[in-house]
Amino acid sequence: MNAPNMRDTERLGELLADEASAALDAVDAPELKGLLDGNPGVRRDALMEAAALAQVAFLRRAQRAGMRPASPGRMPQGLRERLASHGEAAAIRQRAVTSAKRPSLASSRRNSRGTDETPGRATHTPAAAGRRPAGGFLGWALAAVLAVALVVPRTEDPVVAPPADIPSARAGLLGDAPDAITVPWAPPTVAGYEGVTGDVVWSESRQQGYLRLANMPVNDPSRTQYQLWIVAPERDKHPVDGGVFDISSTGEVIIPIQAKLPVRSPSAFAITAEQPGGVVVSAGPLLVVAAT
Amino acid sequence: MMTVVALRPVFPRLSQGDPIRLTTSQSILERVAAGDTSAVGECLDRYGDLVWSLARRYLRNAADAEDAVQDIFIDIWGSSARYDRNIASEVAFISTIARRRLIDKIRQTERRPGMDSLDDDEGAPIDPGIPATVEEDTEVTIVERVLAEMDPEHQKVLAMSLYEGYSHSEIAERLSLPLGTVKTRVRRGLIHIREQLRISATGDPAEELLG
Repeated sequence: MNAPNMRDTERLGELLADEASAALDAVDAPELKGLLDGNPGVRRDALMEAAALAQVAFLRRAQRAGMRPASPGRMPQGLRERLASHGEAAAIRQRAVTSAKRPSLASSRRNSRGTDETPGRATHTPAAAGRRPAGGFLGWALAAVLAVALVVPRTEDPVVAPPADIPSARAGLLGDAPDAITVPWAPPTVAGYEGVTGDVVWSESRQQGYLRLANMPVNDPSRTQYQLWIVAPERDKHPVDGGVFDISSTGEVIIPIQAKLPVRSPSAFAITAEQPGGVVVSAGPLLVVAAT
Repeated sequence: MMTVVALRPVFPRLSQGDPIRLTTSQSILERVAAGDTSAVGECLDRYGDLVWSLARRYLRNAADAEDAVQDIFIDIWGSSARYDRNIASEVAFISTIARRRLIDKIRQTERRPGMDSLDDDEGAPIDPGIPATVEEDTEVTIVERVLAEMDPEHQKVLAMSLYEGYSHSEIAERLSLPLGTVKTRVRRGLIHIREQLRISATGDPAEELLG
């Protein structure tokens, strides 16, 4: 970094500190903007965040010291209700514009020679693919209705690299985990899926598992992706998302389950076909189901 | 050991066409960003009183505080997609939005916290309760420690500026300090807090402000 940049940085620090302490005047504001434009690596909120946390810390200290009356401590109920209404409508709108990137479930595909193909990853959905028209500024009552009616895109979680040899890992789990269970898929009844066979292996102690699928119809990732749901009623009345995945051949496919939440006593595993990226609320149908 | 579990003939909880609701390990703000309407209520339950506290600290007129809090939460809803738990806690993210908005509000009204008129029914400065979630926030605890370890004179300047809402020139006058000294103490104090937060989070003392 050369000398002029150092001077700029020092001045930038002064102005950001002024901003964070409510001391930035109108004359200096354009200078701050110019310096920030010229230093894109600087995080503008860094000192504001320090000031905000210090303010909260001082507030907490004052309260502990009993320096101030503790009333009124609660946000007025009417304000809370207005904020909730605004927030719920905003959340609904947010669904419409949030890109539909999703976590990936890696798969290992066994080819005709009986060897394993390189584990693949589910296709990440282009941002526009999962977008829906904005729903407008709706109240809470309508939001509640829509919450169970809308198919919405979801945000992306970190992708976890799969083991190099998934079939071996599955076999290892079955051999080593004393609580490993194998749950076969029920004979599917949905048209096009009648021939699907395979099973689910799951170990609760290790929180690991694998789907094994054969004759599963190939999906077009630009149009639909398969999504796994784990029913674990001891943890939650709603099924847990098991991630999305693609099927590129009708041969045997083994897909590791990457549960985002601890799963206790799963009672069923189910697969649906959803829009690219998956959904928060699915209307089904349940294409393939394995029930314990 | 492998156990093969017998298949039940009928899927026990779901049937074709049943709606399925996802549960996630996402934070409240991440869920808001994902369009989870239930997260909105949780966000208000957890942080509403904190934001209200900060607003009332700055704006003793309740109507002004309500306007400000409304602006703050609209900003929070709109900014939730930017939240990154690797950069800041939710308390830090929300209180930063609140502080920026409150400073804007004060600038608009050209009043500072210490100069606000009091509501007729409220004769004293107000510090509402701090929610338990803030009590548990690691970053706030770190900042408390940093402040406690700070030279008392520096700490006083920061408290007057960041908490009591005095302008730099007012602080200089009240403490009989040159204005430049006040500015320097505020800046160094903030940078020190920032550095300590960074060290606590990453172990890296590098100056984040410099990118």
